[in-house]
Amino acid sequence: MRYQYCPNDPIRYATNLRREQGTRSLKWDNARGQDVLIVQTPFECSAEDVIGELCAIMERTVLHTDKYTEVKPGVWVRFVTAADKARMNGCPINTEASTYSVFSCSTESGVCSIYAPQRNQAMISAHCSIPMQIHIDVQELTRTEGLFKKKVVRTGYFTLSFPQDLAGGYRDGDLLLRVGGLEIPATRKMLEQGRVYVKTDLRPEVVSRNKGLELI
Amino acid sequence: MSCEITCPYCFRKMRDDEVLFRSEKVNYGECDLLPDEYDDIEDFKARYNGPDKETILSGYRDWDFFAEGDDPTYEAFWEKFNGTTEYNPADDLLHVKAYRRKVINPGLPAHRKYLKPQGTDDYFIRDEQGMVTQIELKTGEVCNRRVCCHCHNPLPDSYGKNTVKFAAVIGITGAGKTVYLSQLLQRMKEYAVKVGLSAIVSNTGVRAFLESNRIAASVPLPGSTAATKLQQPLFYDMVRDAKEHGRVTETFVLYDVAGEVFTEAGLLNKFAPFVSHADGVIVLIDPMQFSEVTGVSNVGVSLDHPVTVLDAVHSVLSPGNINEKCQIPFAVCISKADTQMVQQVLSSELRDMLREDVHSIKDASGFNLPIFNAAEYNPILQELYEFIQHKEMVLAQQMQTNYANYAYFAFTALGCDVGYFKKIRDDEYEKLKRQRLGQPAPQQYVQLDDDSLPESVFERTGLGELSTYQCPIGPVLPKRVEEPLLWLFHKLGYIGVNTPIIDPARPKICCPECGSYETEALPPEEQTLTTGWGPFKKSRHVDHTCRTCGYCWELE
Repeated sequence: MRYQYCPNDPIRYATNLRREQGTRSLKWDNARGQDVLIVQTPFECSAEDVIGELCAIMERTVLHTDKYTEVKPGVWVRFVTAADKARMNGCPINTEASTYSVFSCSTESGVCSIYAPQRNQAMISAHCSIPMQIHIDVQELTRTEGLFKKKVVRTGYFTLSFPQDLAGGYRDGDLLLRVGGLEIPATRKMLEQGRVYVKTDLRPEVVSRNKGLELI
Repeated sequence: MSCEITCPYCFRKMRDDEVLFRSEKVNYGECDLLPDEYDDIEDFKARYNGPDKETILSGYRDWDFFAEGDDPTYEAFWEKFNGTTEYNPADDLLHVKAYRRKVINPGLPAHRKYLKPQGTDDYFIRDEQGMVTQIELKTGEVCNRRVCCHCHNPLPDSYGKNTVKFAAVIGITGAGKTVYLSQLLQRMKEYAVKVGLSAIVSNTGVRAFLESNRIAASVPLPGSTAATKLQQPLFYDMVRDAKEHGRVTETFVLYDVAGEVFTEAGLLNKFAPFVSHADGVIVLIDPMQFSEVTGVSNVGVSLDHPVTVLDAVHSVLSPGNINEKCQIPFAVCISKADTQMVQQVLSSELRDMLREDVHSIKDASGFNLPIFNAAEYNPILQELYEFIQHKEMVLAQQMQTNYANYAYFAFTALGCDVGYFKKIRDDEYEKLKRQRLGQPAPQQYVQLDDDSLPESVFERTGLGELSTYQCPIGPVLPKRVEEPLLWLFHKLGYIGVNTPIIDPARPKICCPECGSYETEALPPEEQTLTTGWGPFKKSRHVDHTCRTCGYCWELE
């Protein structure tokens, strides 16, 4: 399949992308019967800046039909047909702390045309930034010693527990572990593990470098 | 069955057998019964002495009875509104304006001689319920264009058979009333279906309004309507399924009233009846009149106009009872909620809610229930109330003081920006169309870049046309325009509600048991709570209950 990025076509509009209140579902308004491409980018990064590049990447990528596909680090795409939209009542979000964009698209003779969204309006937009509040539990590992196990002894390790659903759309380095003057980027592998151990006597501090990822 | 009908124009009452009819038979031009050598009937009467003079005169009188002409009663009504706005597209095909047809009064012997009797001393044709709907001419034409016997204005088919509710839509200058009404009427059927109703258009006013006020991307927005003109009432038959009682039809009439009429005493007197007879009112306010939106520090200046209008509306709705709160449902709507300046001052929660469509409540089989979705609306109402309470105290105070049954709404009728466009010359446009034969028709208006805007956007071409037009930069996506109307339907008893609509002016009372704010005061007869049994039976006084957990308590 060849992909081409085309100028906005008002007849094939897709806009007003939003998260449905209280759900993990994206909704949008589109022209009747219109298929769309949902693009997930890092928080507040514009998909329009990379869509040309994405067209080239998608040509050599096998795209999943029923879930998001990571086409480049931190950028995920998912095609949603008009029928899919009706069946799923929108489209589930991949992960939070990201910006989503909706592009209308149409396929003809092996060419998929992706149309530029219309100019953003104050209320109605083809983009939707979904922030996320997370809590990362930092605990010092200790053990007890003595006859009655009453003496608490430091082990020199700290544990960091990451939320389970964070790894899916996570981009390496969005979170940093700061230990003294040392900054360690948290990778997706670390998040997938759920819990990581840091050998240090100083309490590690977790810092977010993603504006959409708010630590609480 | 005899029905009492209230005229939707002059609001005078009549029985269904007192209505008059516009004739289906119309004579145009000059009568050809007169010999050519006579200038007119007076000339004929003076000079002709033939034996058939009386026969010719009689024929002439019959012809003249049905001649197209002015109707003084109708003209008198419309004179105070600068002329009629009645327009029926079918009139162009029939080559006669409906209001120039002869009005036949079946009560007059002189008119009866042209009518075919339908029984003993009865000239009316009635429907299955017995309501007078038609008369028949001796020449065979059936006349079903009923008009009011007082003002000769048209009564739509079956008008008067069902309960009629009137509602006025008042737009404060610049609030976008015409755009709002156009979007509302365009989608009235689907909005009605959202609450399990069928909306059936019952006059040509709706079609004429939509034809002259079309809203679409790259199409010029309609201009403002002249305040002095009375627009035609917009009639709908609202049909609902009443289960075991079959179906219930009620007539709903919308009036388009300009806010300007409330600031000029001369106009107010003429338009007051359309508000004073209303069973519900929708007022549109341009958010640019809010100091918070425009950044104007002097609240008095920016709010002067809406407050003046609302004061005048209250005096019309409560004549003689100026010290009483108005009881009729009153929807105060902030239009153009999608504009940059409005979005900047609204909370993010409210902005998110306003981007959503109004959702229906479905039954198990997937049909929409006749229910207003108050669960979805209440948070919007609460946010709007707090916004107006904190930022536009003058308006909040006025509403609280004058109206007992009001609610706030916000919507966008366009959901897109408006830009300046230029019209492609007709000859160039035709050429363009020919070039794109077989493809969708090209746009006749093209958007201008900021650089190419003329100095005055109201500049006119030599042909008297505007050189620049304001058009929506599509797609047009109205949001929540139907909410005030559906609220009104609930208040008028057409539909129910899924949860009580909050009264934001009332302090929130929290249930001491579960913490819910879904609480309500108990009526006096339910204020005694008995617990225990036998000798342990105890009664205590309670005055509030929680709808969430059922707990009852006495408020301190």
